[in-house]
Amino acid sequence: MKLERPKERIHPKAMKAWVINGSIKSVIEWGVVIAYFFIRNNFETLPQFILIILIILASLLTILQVIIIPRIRMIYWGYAINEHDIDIQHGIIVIKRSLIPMHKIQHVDTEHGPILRLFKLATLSISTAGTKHKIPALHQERAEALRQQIAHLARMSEEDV
Amino acid sequence: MSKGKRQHPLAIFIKALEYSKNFIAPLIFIVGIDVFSGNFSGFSMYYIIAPVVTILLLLGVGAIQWFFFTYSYYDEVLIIKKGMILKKERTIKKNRIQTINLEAGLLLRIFKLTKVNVETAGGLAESELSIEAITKDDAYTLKALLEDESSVPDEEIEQGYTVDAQRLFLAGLTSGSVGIVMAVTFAFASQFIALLPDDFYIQLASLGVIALIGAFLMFTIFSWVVSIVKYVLSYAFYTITKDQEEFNIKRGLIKQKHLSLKAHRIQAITMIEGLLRQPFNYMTIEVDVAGGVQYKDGSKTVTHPLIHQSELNGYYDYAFHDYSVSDSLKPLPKRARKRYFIRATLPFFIFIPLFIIFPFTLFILIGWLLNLVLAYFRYKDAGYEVNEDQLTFRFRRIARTTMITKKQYIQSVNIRQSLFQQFFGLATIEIHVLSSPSSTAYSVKDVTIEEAIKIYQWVKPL
Repeated sequence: MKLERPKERIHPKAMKAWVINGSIKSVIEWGVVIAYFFIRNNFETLPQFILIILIILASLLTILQVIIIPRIRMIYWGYAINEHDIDIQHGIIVIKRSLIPMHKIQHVDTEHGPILRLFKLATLSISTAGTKHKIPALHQERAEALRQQIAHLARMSEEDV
Repeated sequence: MSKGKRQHPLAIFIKALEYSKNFIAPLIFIVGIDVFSGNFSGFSMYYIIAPVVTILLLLGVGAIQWFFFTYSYYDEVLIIKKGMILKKERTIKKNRIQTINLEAGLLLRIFKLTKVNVETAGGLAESELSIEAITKDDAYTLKALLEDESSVPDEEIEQGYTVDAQRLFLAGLTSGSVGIVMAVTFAFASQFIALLPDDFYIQLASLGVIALIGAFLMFTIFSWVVSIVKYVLSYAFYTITKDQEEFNIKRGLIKQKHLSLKAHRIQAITMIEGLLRQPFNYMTIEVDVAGGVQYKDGSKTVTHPLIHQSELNGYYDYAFHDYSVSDSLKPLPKRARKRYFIRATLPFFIFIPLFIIFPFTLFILIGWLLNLVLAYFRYKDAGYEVNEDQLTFRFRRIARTTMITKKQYIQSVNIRQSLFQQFFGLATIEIHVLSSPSSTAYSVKDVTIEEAIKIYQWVKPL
């Protein structure tokens, strides 16, 4: 028996956003490599093997961040929302599945950084009294609709404690 | 009580005392350094003037605070005003108040006074409000007003659970806080190590191994005694009574604490069997509480300091009659054992380079063996049960812990599966319950994925 992923997927455009995100991170990492290269030009006592290791590391990270991780992430996110609860699954090597009963939800937020905004995407975060859960990169309209739907459903279910 | 009431004037003194605590430690340290390093230049007027001025200032501050602090209650609202320059006025609605705790230290008890803590929902420090010193009668009247009680409770004629002297001593002996006391003592002592004379270590070395072991034993015994005394002081005269779905917990020898707790605010019950207690079938019962109660050291509300297995059913009938203790938890599957052993072994791999370079460090492997034994018991003790709307988890970190909660208190459920767990068809099941200031997570590792999904779906109300 395996965990069956909930039906709904995050927006396909999310992958583009993640690719850009990964690219920005890679640029910063290559910046470190280049910085080391120039510093070594001036202080020749610094060993060369560190430069080689840095180059290998940066290459690997670039491949991971730009090509592999966005694709895998796409496959591994799934969620379902109904009137009773929110069901979220995510994870690449470690699978994590979370169920949040509707009447335990304290508040719902949507947030979007500059890259997500470019693609009209938003992250939905759901908080109970002690835990916080996220569904990343939904279409902004969808996220907004969900936020209102959850807020509405959460208000409907009776409040205990 | 329409006009604001002031506290008892003793509050001035208490505030001053509280502030002066902040001065004492640095003072001792400074004087200590002076004396030890030989800079002590004898008596001077400075040693009298400075403390007197400080005390007067503190009393002055205390008096101002006392003068401007008033509380009043009318029309279902508690109003507290304070502050001379920055005036603060807080209004708390009666039905927002979660708990009212009374707490009386030695000084307050001499004057038949008590401190009142009013707590509202929400984890912030803001949600707690204290009245430092009012008479016991006033406190009980206020408590009755705010809690809808028609009468002031009779203090003596209550039946419930108490802990006798022998049991109390036993609890202190096995409380397992020796380690903490030792650490604190050591940290305190280490402040003075720099001040020791240079030849101290040479003298120490000349004492020989047996003397050192003896010193260590003395240190341990001393710490143990301190931990017992500490425990006895805070849990002496422990009584818990339940009256119409409200618990009243009183404890303390010098500082008396009185806590009231509505039964429906209890979110989970944990029974903790420490290493020194489990062999004798004794355990501590604690609860997770929503809102209100919180302790500075992060400990939970103890609803029984030390109870024997055989008394458990009677206790549950009295205190938690809508919960039931189960003795037939489902064990983990055989294949989970391997995972527990692997988990106990992995951290020791980082020592391998050390073993190769310094072979004598192989003694670290004793730790590994102990960890394997612990892992075996972690595996053996782990279990879970779903019974109607009640969920029981049992797991062990060091102490064996059994947690009982109800479906309606579960904040969220998680299933986690690492790569290895996916391979073995196992999963970690975790639930969160409210426990002020936020929430507590309880989990059982390596249940079969099928069972994890069953529990998950049990929470899902479909």
